[in-house]
Amino acid sequence: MKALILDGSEGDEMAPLRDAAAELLSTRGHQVEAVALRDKNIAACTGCFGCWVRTPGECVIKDDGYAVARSFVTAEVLVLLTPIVFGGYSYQLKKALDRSICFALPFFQNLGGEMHHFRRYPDIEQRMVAIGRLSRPDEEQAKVFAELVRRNGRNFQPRALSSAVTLAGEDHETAVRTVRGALAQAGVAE
Amino acid sequence: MKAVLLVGSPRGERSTSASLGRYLLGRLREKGWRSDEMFVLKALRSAEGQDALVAAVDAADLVVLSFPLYVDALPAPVIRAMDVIVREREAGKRTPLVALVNNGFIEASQDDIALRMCRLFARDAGLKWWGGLALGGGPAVDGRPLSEAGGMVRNVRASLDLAAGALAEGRPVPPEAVELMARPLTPQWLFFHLGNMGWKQQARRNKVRGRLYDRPFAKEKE
Repeated sequence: MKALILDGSEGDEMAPLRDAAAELLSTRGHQVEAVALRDKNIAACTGCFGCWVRTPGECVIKDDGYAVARSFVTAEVLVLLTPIVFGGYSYQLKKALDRSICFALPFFQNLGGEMHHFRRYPDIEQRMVAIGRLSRPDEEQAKVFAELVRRNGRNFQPRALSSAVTLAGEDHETAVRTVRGALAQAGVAE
Repeated sequence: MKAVLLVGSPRGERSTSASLGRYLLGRLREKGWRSDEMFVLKALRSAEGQDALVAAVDAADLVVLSFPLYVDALPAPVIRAMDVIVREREAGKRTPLVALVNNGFIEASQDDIALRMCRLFARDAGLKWWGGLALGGGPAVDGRPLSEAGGMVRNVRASLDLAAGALAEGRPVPPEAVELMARPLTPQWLFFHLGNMGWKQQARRNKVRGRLYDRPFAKEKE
């Protein structure tokens, strides 16, 4: 079983969480790929919709975003790690996620009264975990982050979804507890 | 008084974000305002561009940020631009910020999280949050000037007219403008139909109509 960890930090501030997630997933028998997105050459999505109507299923930009997309689709477990920026994902992580619309079909469906796209790979079951890090306590940002992850769940439609928020300066044990809790909530680890 | 429009769509000049922002600024110009516009993606390409972006915000009496919804939130370049503005802008002047968000679904409510993120940006940048207008059904504008986009977008124009009137008088975006912008442009079923037909037509033009359901990564999974 493959697990993909996407680290959206600009520095090494997510390292304790990334290491904890990698260790927990490895001990559960997952083949773990951890990607520091800042080291990858991933251009911003240009909004051309080429991945729907020119090269269906594949972004027309052939940079490192292509390999990340391939790993994203083929992983059973997705762990998104990010500093929380204005309540959402960092630039690095969002750049990769913006390139993920190739995982959807252009066609619409009604889900719970709202329009959403059909999944291109509805048979691939994934569990998604998003963990955000705040540099200081900020209730509003934490709320927006949780809501964003929940809303992403409507689009990515994973089998299970969870999110957690950590604070800068937390020690290793706390990081491990946070990651374990989020993974457990998504049915990945107890 | 001077307003600056920051266009957050990677599609730049041809974007619905530019159409909405330009219409609003046009209305403000009719009321005696001066205006300027900047394209976020272009500005981020160089240190000079980033400096110009920050300088434009510092020099403005009103900042209008217009962008499309990408994966439920702000497009990545908008996040980077916000980072730069928070880090670099001069402290002190609490310039009002207004956001215009458009998405490709029919429900304006799908823009809610992006607007909350804009409010957090205003807080962190020392700007004054003057509200946002959320639009669903952005493809109905399709980057055309709003004045040429037909009757389907009459509420969009009316909303921006109301907003411009309030902003010009030093007031935030009024609730009536928010409500008008959020009204669905068509029934959901019609938007489904028009949208699905449009994708098929584009694929046919590109000679990939039969490949729309391709799953290029599925084999690697098996």
